[in-house]
Amino acid sequence: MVEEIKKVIKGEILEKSPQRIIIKVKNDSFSSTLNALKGLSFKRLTLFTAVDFVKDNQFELVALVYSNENKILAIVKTRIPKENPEIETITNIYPNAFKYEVELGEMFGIKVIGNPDSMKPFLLEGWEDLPPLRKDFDSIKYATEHYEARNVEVKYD
Amino acid sequence: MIKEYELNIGPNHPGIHGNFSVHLKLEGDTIVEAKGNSGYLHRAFEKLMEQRTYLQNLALIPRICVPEPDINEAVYSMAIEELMGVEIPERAKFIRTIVLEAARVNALLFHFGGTAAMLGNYTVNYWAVADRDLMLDIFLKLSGARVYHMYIWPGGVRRDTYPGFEDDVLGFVKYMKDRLIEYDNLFFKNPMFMHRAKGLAKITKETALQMGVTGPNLKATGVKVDVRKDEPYAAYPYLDFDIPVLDDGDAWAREIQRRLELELSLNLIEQAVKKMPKGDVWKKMPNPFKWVIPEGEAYARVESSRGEYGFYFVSDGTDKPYRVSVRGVSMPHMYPLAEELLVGQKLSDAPFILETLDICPPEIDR
Amino acid sequence: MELQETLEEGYVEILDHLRKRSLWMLHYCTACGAVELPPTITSRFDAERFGIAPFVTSRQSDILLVTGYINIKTLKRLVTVYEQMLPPKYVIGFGSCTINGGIYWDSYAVVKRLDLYLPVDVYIAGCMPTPMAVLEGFRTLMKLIDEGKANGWRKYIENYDYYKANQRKVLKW
Repeated sequence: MVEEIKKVIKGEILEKSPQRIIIKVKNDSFSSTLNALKGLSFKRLTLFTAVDFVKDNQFELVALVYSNENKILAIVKTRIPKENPEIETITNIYPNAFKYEVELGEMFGIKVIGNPDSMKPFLLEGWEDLPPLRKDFDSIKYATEHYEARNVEVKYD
Repeated sequence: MIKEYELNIGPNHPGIHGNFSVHLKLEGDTIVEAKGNSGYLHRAFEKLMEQRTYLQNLALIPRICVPEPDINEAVYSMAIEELMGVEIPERAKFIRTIVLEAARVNALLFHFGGTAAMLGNYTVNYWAVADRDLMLDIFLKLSGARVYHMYIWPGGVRRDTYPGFEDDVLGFVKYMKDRLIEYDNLFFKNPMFMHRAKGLAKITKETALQMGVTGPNLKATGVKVDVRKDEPYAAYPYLDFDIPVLDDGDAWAREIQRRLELELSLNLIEQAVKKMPKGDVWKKMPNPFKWVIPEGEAYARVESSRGEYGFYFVSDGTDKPYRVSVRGVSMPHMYPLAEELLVGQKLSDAPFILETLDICPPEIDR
Repeated sequence: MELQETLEEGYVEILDHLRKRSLWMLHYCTACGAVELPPTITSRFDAERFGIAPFVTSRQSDILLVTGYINIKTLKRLVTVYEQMLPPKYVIGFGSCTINGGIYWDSYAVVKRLDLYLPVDVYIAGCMPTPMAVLEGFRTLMKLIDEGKANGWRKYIENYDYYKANQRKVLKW
């Protein structure tokens, strides 16, 4: 299977275990890679998410695609810069990516071109702060500032 | 005359499993458009996990999915074990299998109760909840809690079973097997259920595969995909079983598929209890308060009662996870599957259809 | 004049005494605590023997059981639902998360104290409280009603501005 993938996809391909393949590609060939993988029986998008690498000032987009026939999970990764992050939609390849993309917009502030609901609220209502899953957003600080805590004296005997 | 009108089902609606709402556009009582509205249960698990140490997270994660909390612990532990390269003891594998399958039985019973209640058959609801409580009592003895057990943890399980655990579990299995016949007569062979469910909200194999559907919803369309077979974890490689599949793909098939899975789970528990070896239940690991997980990434997955449940786990080599992304099973089942399935159906069937897809809102919101 | 007052007081006492035996609980599963409600209200623990039954509309319910953490999005609906209910109405805070945020104390999406936004009559501690604890909570509420001490809804009317200000702060209404 890895050989077949290597024929079609240009990028760093690593076989981590018999059932996991990690594929790192450039961000402009992200959707074409997924398209090629779909042709190679990777028909199910299991998860589409992002990781905030704050040290590199980059987002890593991660798409997990699964092949029911070969029972292999491919982890497709790409890096995009953190300033004005934009990606192209993959809903034309995997229709269930729609809400994952909306979530990317809400949780990371990544704009998805071609997704009509991108940057619209999905889980949060009236959110005005930074996108919450970014590493520079401090949840503890936000919670202490916005929600009053109960003042209880705890005594340990 | 109003031709088209809008209606909100939920968030306060007894026909919805949990706290989420569906916004419907109706013509007469036919649904022409359905839009889900989630977020009422959003607690930001993925963010909270980044702020806590590995041991603290253990208490947090079971709360992601309420009816079946043990899968979370299992996935979390499996991801950490994969990163640390730890092989857990044999006995722990079997105990994990028993706990996971028992949790599946619990979740399925809960589900049947809800589905039957949607059709007005409240007796099944009462039975299922009462039968589920028998297993919860065993959990109470085993782990000290009824709902959130925190029993499975990295390296194995938290402590060994109590004396008499095997008999308790086998007794429950025997009771449930007898009980299933009564459930069949009251619910699964009930003409009312058959008439309502046959041919309702049919999913084809192609749509299911395209939309990323997993679990009983997919197996009911005839695709044999199950993590327990495809990528065996815990003690499943040692057990002898076959995954049931059906072909119809409608509401009836989905329910019968779950009923078959319940039977399979009972068989698996029985086998696992009988084959369980003696020995350690926890692979000695360093001080749990100071767990440091090596840098890397892992995707661990298990088969929950609803489908493939997984964690995408990134560690940067510190005592806290760098990023954990939860693959909620219900995400593709709600968006876009349910939204498309509801179109063209009658309003009175809507809660029933949502129920047969077994959507668990906390998994979508997280 | 005195006689009338005495009669009125007695009337209220009798009403309270009767009221405590017929409490309808709003079927609004706000959070994960809802998983322990089916065992509570069905055959095993059978809350109905105390006259407590789930009910589907807010207009006819007496108890608002807040089952667990309160997300901002849910809080908005919760306040609306509470205001739809007709007095006398009682609020039970179920689980540690309604008391001080519980395990979600550091979450940006969950409020920490329910009593800032709604008047709580009884708290049930625990995560998750068992059906026995829930029944104990109901019994406490019944006792408070009988004694005329469950006056959360009166407090809400008297301190309406205080509650509204708190709600506005987080809900941005």
